[in-house]
Amino acid sequence: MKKALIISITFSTLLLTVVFYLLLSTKGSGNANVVLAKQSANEKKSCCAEEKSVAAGENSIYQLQSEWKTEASKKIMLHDLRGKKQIMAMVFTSCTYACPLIVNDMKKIESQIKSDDVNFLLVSIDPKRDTPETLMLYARNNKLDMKRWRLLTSDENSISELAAVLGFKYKKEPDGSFSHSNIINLLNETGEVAYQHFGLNQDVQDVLDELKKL
Amino acid sequence: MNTKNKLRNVLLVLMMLSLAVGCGGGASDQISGEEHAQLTQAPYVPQPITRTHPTKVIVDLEVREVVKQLADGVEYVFWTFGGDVPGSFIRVREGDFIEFHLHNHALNKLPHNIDLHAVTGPGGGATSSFTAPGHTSIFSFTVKNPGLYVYHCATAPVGMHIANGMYGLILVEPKEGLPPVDREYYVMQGEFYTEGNYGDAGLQPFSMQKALTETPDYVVFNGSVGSMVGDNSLKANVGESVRLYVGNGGPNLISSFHVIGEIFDLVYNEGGSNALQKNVQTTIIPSGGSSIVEFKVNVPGNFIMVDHSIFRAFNKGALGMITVNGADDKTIYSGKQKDELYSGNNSVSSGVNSFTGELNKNNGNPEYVSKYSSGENKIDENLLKTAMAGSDKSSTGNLFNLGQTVYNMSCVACHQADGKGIANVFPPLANSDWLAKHSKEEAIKNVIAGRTGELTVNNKTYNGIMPPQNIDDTQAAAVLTYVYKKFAGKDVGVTPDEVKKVRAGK
Amino acid sequence: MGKTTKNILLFLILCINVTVAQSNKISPANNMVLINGGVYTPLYGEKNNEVKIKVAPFYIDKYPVTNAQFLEFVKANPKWRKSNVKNLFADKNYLSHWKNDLVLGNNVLPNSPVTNISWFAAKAFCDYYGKRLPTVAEWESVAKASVTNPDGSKDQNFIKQILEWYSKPTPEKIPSISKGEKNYWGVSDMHGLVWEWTSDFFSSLVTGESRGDSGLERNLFCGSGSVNASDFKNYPAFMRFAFRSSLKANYTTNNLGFRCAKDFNKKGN
Repeated sequence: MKKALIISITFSTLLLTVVFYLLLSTKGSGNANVVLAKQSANEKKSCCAEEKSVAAGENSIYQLQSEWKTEASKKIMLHDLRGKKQIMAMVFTSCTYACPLIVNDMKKIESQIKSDDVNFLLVSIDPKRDTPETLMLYARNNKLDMKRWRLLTSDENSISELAAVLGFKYKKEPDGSFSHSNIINLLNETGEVAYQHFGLNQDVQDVLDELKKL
Repeated sequence: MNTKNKLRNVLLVLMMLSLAVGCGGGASDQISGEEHAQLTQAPYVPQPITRTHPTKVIVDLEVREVVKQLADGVEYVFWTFGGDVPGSFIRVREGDFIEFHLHNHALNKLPHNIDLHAVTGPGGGATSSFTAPGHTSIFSFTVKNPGLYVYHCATAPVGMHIANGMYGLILVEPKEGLPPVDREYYVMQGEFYTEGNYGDAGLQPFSMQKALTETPDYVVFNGSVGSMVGDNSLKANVGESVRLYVGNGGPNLISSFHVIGEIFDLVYNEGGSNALQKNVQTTIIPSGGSSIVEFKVNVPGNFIMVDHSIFRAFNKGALGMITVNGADDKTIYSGKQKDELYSGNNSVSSGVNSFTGELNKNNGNPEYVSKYSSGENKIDENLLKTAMAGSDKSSTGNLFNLGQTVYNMSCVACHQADGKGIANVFPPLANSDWLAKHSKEEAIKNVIAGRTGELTVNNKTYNGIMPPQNIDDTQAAAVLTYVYKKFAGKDVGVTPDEVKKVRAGK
Repeated sequence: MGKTTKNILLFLILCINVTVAQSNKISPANNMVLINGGVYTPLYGEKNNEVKIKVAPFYIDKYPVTNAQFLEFVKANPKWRKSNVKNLFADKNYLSHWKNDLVLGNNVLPNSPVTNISWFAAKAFCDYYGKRLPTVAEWESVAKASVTNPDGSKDQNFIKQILEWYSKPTPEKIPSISKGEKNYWGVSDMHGLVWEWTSDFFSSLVTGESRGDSGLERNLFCGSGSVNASDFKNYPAFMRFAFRSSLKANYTTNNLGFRCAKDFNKKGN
């Protein structure tokens, strides 16, 4: 009996030793952090901020001094939007292809957010045709919840400054329409660009995820 | 009984423990850890990867526009990844997660980006890495496919960016690694298009026109003519196995890569995962592609890498060297064993003893008759007519012209076009005191019977072999007339009859 | 003289003073040239339909704005000084080549084009002097002129010269202005010294992945679909287009400067 016990214990210890030896000889043990990131198509992550060393608030787009008119013809400046997070896009109402899709994507986001600290903003790049009245009509036609949505218009200079700050590209075509980037921007409460979602009709989960982080 | 049960339990627990530990650590497919890629400049490559799991690799690559040497006396503004052409060699492992930092130096004129053929994603990374001077772009990707991949800049105009040197290689090792070899080197071919011709000195600007017509002035390895020649040759020792990671940045030409004196034991065609072929002499490397070749060096010597589109190798710079040191193996390659005279077939009916230079009578092989032997086939009438169509209508003048033709065919190699010969090797004819002192007959003899042994001309001694010339009497007369007039300043003229007489032994 | 006359005289003198003061403020305006009849061929336009856009007459600066001129501007506008500027408007390399806020230092030639300024800074400068930045169309219509021809795009030597400058790295010290010959319009240094900001530089709708830019990337950009490059051989234009697309409004680079333009109907001094 005792002999059998001794033999089996010795055998197991030997087995264990062999196993451990094998493990140690193959380098790279350790189960540390798994960094498996997905790269979604057409998307520039705001991963690696060039301006990390910049003071908070320095990147706020609300520093622009431009004046804007809402769809209700109310005059505001951008810093009046402080205090709430903004999901915003630059569009124009006569746009038949991309802008409806962008607005649709924004509505998708809206349906997923119940809290009232997030608002939605559409800024027109077509001051000639997008008067406050046109904007109001557009909002009605698209059944936008005016408690959460705001539409803005201003002069060309102000529009170009805002576009420049967002890295938004656009060009007026000879027929009066515009070619432009397709971007949905997420601004934090102080007006800094926290995240940009590029492309149309993509999965909007990334915006929602970023929103949670704010 | 109790002890037995206890024993069984202990054993079970031990077994389960070992299983658990066995599954948890060791080789895995999960990314763990982080490291900075060690980049190298050609012809060196980073060390083979020893880890057995994927990791996060941070790559820092800087674009730098610099003026460097393209060839002796020739400079060029190169646009580089990492300061040199080709760009730095990046070595990673299948499954690694790469965080790529592309830096554009502040002094650069232009924006740049990067397309790595190892990337699965839009533009190979080009969309996400478009960078203005003085800025950095960061993007990430997982390398799923092993292989040897080209990377290059893809900013418009793309051809110009590549033509200025913006290409390099990234090696994605397979999970199990590559079989070990003794030496690994990095070689990358590319063309350069300059406004000036090959060799024109100074700072040469890029020629868009030549790039469009795909007519480069330079085709080089590793960014310059002579980059791997002389002291810069690649080194190996006899008996070692060598692996070359070879890329072709283009922008236009395909390479026919060959190592003179070697045969590739293994070729991973187009830089793919499998060594598809053995015993290959020359392998094709597509533009924007690569190849991995392996061979063992068995004998010492210089082994020359070329693009076997041969004018590129010798006239445009597509040439590099591998210097192998070590002991000889004469059974594999003996080197030159003997050097013999070969006097053609003149020993036939004209009967010349090729060793003594003396005329032999009736001593040749009667079955072979050279068509140039006297009395037999006539000389080419047309040649004669052409040669005689010179302005000098005298018979001597006609012979002179024919003589010039004969000289340029038979004599110029040794005695040179200016008749000055080669010092210590071939005696001069120009102002030769030998020609002045000796008779015409002696000179004729040299031509038709050859000459060996010591000879002093213009106070210099020569001791070589002049073979008999395979020419008929008229040609011999002609060339001597030419030589006398042109080089010795003696307008003596030699006639075919005089030659005939000497040949007959009188 | 009656009191009223005195007052009137004083008032007149005041007006004159103000006008003089104003004109001093707009002093750089004197160095402008009227461009009447400029034509711009957009690099990217409708496929098979090369558009030649007539550019309405406008004034443009003869030379790029210099370090000395920019110094005068920041003296009068503290918020554009190196240490005051906000990151939104200019990145951290703003005026990095100047010794400090108000001193150029020995490494800077006062009459060389000012660089390391962002689009916002350039705009602010032009606004201050009652001018504006030129549009891409305006800038390109002036840039395509060689010395003798308003359209130098077929002049191989002219194109070669530009390409040569583009392939060389930036020198540590950028040379002073007016080293180059005046072009057909009498404007200097459109090529050879620095890249220049334009008011609508962001109209370059490219992804940076230039091989895919032969058609408009419909997912990323909305627009009149079949867009194609008008002249694949106009390499200088391509390179300028590529350069503009790599920029953001707050970027500064040490080889990017600017010059101002002005509308024609608002006639300057």
